[in-house]
Amino acid sequence: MEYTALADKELALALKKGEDGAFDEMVRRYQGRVYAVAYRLTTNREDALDVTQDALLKAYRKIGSWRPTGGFLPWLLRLTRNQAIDHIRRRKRRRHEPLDEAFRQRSQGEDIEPSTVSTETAVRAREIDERVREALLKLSPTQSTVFILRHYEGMALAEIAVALGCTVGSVKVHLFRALKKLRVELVDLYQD
Amino acid sequence: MAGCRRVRAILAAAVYEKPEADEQGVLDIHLGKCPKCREQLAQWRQLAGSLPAGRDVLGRDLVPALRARLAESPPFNPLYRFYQVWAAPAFAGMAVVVLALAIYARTGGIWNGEALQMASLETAESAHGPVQDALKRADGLAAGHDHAGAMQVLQEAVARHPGDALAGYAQREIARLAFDQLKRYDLAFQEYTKLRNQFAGVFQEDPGSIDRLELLAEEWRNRFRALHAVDAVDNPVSDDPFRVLEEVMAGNPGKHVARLALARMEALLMREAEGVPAEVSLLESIRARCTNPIAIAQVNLHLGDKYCDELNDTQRARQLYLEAAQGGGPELAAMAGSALARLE
Repeated sequence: MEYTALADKELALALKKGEDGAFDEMVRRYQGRVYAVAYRLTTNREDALDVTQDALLKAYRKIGSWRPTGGFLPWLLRLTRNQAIDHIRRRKRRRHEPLDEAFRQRSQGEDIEPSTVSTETAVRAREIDERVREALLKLSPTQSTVFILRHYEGMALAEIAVALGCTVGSVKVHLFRALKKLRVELVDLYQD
Repeated sequence: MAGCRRVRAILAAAVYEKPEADEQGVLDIHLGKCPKCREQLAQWRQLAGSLPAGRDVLGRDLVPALRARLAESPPFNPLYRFYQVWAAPAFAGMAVVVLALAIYARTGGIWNGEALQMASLETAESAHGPVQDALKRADGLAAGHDHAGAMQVLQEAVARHPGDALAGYAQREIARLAFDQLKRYDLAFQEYTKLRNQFAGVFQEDPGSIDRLELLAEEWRNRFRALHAVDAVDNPVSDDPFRVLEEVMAGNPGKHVARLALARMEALLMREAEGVPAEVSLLESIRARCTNPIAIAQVNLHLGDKYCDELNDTQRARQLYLEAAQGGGPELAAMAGSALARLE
């Protein structure tokens, strides 16, 4: 069966029925979006990769609890968010933290590209990412998803509406609520 | 300021995208009068500008890695998984029940073991999904058109098991039954409000619920008269359903219920038409049949947008906007004025 031609809901139903080929298509179709949300909530590529894999596997194992009355992508992204939150909690409980990303990459034998960005800029960028991550976690799952897809993924609101299976009007309302809360949480980042 | 609520969604979208023609007009008028919204828009743009917008791309195919993980993990046997998760709590629950009964018997009932028994049974029962069972029973009742019965089953399940993973979905179904099937809008308002307050995640993920709660909030002060009027057109003995819907539109310019009435008009004319008419033809037919100037003005605005945006016929669009500006009252006239300005 050609799973790439299936609409999102039909693919999810095929997965629910246990059709093996549906798993590969589900991963390839959604891994980018899941990673985008995971990255924004963990601010770390390695953690985002772990969360992405865990979320996709969890979706496969828990497909029985997905109800066809709701969209599959919103359910999957909510699962991703929960995985990211759990991952962050586990990370905080670890006794030893790598000093920084470069240390972790070196220990894994990866080449480190010489940085063209000053340390101060990199540190500031990381601080901003961390603040945004904390603020995003205070939004509802849908609000944070809409914001991430619009601001970071550059998706048009109409595209987000199709992806989430809702109206453009609803996407705009979610974006409004997200911006309203983020404005308060991140006020010191943008005010002079 | 009045009107801030109406433009809030357009305002947020405007941070990233150019609004639609009719929305730009509404936004321009509002921002001209509301310093608070002007400031809010400016701050949102500053916020969006201060956050780096770059993407971090995944850049690899995860299928091989995930297949490898699946191959390494224990076989995903649902029964095995059930046993792993629920065996210990179920056995613990049963042990507590036995202990409670024993104590109850010895103490002659002076200690209220019943509550503990119920709690323990619930612990065991949650493994079988009481709300899930209720949802299935409700489906069956609804299929037999016993919507009131279906709603009662779900209400009892949610009341007894508010912490169940499916309770929010059951609550949403309760609200939907009240709105769609029973047409009990007072009850639907309560149930959608309860959904928003107690199961915010389920509420937020469903745009239909959000839209309905906004509609019900607009209409509750008038005891949902406009909604009942729209429903009444389905009555086979209704004299002139088109006229009823027109009155709803005329009495509620720019509100959710007016859009609902227009959509019902389209459905009415679709049934009467031969074949499947285009939306523009339907709106032209509606316009021709309406007699109330405010209703006609609203249809003219929608029609103008269709001619402008979809048919690229700006001349016809201008004509329709001019008519809307002249006949629709101050709010619709302002919207028409903005639409005309966009054509220049």
